Amino acid sequence: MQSMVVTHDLTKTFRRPDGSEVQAVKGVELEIHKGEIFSLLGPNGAGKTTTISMMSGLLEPTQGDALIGGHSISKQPLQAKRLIGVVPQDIALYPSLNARQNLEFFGKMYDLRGNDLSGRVEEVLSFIGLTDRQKDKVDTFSGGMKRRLNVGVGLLHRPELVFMDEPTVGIDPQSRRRILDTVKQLRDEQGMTVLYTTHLMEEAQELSDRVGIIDHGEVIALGTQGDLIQQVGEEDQLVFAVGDQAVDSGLLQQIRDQVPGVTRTSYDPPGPGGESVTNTSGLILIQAKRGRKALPDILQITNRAGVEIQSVEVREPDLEAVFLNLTGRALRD
Amino acid sequence: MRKILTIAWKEIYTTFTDRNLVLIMVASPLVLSTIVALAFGGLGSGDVPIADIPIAVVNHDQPGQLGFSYGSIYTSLLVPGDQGSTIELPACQLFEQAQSGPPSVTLFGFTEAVEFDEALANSLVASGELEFQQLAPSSQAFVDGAARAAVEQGIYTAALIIPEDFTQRISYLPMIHPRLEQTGISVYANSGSPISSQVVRSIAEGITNQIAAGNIAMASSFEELQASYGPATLGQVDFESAFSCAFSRAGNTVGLDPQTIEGSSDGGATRGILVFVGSAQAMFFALFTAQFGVLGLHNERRQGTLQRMVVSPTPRSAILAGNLGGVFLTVLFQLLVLILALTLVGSLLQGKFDFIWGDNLPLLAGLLLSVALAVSGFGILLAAIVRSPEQGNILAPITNMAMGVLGGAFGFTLPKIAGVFSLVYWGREAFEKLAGGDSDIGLNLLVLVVQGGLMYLLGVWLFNRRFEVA
Repeated sequence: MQSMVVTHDLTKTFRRPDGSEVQAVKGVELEIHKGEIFSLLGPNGAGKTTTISMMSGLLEPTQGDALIGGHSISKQPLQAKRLIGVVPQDIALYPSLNARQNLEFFGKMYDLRGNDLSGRVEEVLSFIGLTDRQKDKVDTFSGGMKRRLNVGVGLLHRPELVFMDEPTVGIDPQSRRRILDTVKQLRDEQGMTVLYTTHLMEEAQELSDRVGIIDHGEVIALGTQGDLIQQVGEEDQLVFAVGDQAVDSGLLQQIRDQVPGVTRTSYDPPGPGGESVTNTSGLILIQAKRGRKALPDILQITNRAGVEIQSVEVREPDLEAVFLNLTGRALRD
Repeated sequence: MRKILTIAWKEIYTTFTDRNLVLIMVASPLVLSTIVALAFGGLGSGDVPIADIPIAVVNHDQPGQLGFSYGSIYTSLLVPGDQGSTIELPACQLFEQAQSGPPSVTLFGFTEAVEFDEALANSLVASGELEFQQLAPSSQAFVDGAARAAVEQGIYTAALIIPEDFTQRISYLPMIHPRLEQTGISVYANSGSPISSQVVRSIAEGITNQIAAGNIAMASSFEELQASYGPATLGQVDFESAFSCAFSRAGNTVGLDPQTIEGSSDGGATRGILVFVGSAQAMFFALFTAQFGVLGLHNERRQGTLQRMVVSPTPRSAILAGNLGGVFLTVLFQLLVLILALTLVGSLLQGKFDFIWGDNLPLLAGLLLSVALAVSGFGILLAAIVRSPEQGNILAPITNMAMGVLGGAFGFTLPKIAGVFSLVYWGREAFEKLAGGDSDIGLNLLVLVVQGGLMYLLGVWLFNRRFEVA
């Protein structure tokens, strides 16, 4: 499979005002194949944006390099940049220009001119569904429309590779859906390679051919979703809501001992004392192979102990579980 | 190059489509300049139209040894009356040659002068129009005092008092009086109409120069008369008629002293103030345009558009050049618009078209380019020094106010030794010179270009060194 992006020892160190240094990205080694959607998944502050900034030529790496379509971003930046379209995390548009003027201006930055430019502008406006609003100033747009235009600018010059840095942050579900569908269209219909960064496990799961999990500036896992989930086994997580009833450790021990397949149990009390301060109900968390099969036995034991179960959720293994397994923390922490 | 132009055009477009910005850039200096011109230029309520400055001419002059009075000629140049007849003598031809030069204007256009004598003084006192008490009503002191009182009471803008020995002092006759003396003419002006008073003083200076020129012509004529007709004929010449052509209204222009009112027209004071304040205000506000234009790079970084340009295949140098070029062109365009708008204002105030910036258009264009370079250079330097737009928003008004005050943007000037530190001074002085028909602005252009160029280079260097994109 042909590589679109290859990074080698990509490192970025920032100097703080007090003179100390912080390593935001630590020797990232990545290979992204042509025509795939590759997600870089990690919590806020993990180094996703810094990595993408170095790959796009916005930041100079402290160490290492990135090859984009075979061109070094450090040594042949103009050739490499021609292949890249960037959709930044924040809206990067001129609010006092209209949608069309924004597209035309940035199109000219990618050497589009004349009929080629106007043709592409029309196509992109149609693609992002803003043809009717093309003459309106951007500062009159809703958040979702701005996001769509933000995406459109990045696609204007038909890039072979698109960097999308958390493009769905802070938008309504409808616009989010539209952007996720656009990403899939780019791969499926236009054959583009997409590097998509997100801290939302659901997006990475829905879009990605392959995923890289990044934390504290390091890529800690890399592969297809199946590969990664296999790393944590095939255990389901069962979540029982118990309200404010007291749950003693004896009950948890009993479940672990008596129910086949259960490997781990824990209790997450409600309110500030719990794992999540937003919990309004106490939760019994159980890791079990073939969780659905274990469910009746668990209910029987809790019933006998006088603990009334208010609701049950069976979570199948996912990237969240992978991240939890690898770091001991939840992705959203 | 195309990308540089694209970025520059975007700068200009976004600037000039921002109504609030245009209001600050163009309307503010225009309104301020017009107000100052109206307030101090003789067209406001506190003054009278420049074309009708009321002057009291008090003529005490006695005829000299040749039998005529320069004081009368002086008076006749200002007060409407018979022009008398003239005869063709070499003096006239010589005088015509002497006054060849830039076109100038007749004095009648400026003033509404009256010959202020004892009779007029008495009639004004008698009618109650003038409050003045003097024990010796027939003396020169009475007339002078009444004239001064009339000025103080606002009947006249100025009193021009010609002394008794004026002809004696000013006569230049090789055999009889071979030297010129101080004229002794005094101008008593109303301090409430400073500009009109200044015009009167200029007129007085101009007429004196006129008479001095006439004297030179006369001296030459004496020699020619003597050579042609012999010394005996000199006694038969009516000198007042013979040389009156040298001082006649048809030829009485103020053409020898360009520092007074040479090249002026009706409404010259308004014009002068519009040029003075308008050019300085234009530069003062252009400083803000330049600074906020360059500080716009900080804003572009904040809104992410700068990063968007950086990740495109556009060299950073082209991005900076485009932005700075856009600022330069914006400033140039702003100055051009203000120059034209101030011309329009000047023309409207005077009721006729008047291109107030002089007729040397190539030099005017050169000056505009130099000023735009200096102003935008200063803006780049300041924007490169500050770390954030907020810092710039504090520093820019301080530096610009200093530049404006030193350069005369608020209608008053400081001593030149202080003014030379302001680019506004150099630009404003050059605009004034061009407006007055003086093309000697080489030093001004040099200072502006060198200053602007150095600040541009230093600013770009600092910007490249200190400005972080991501």
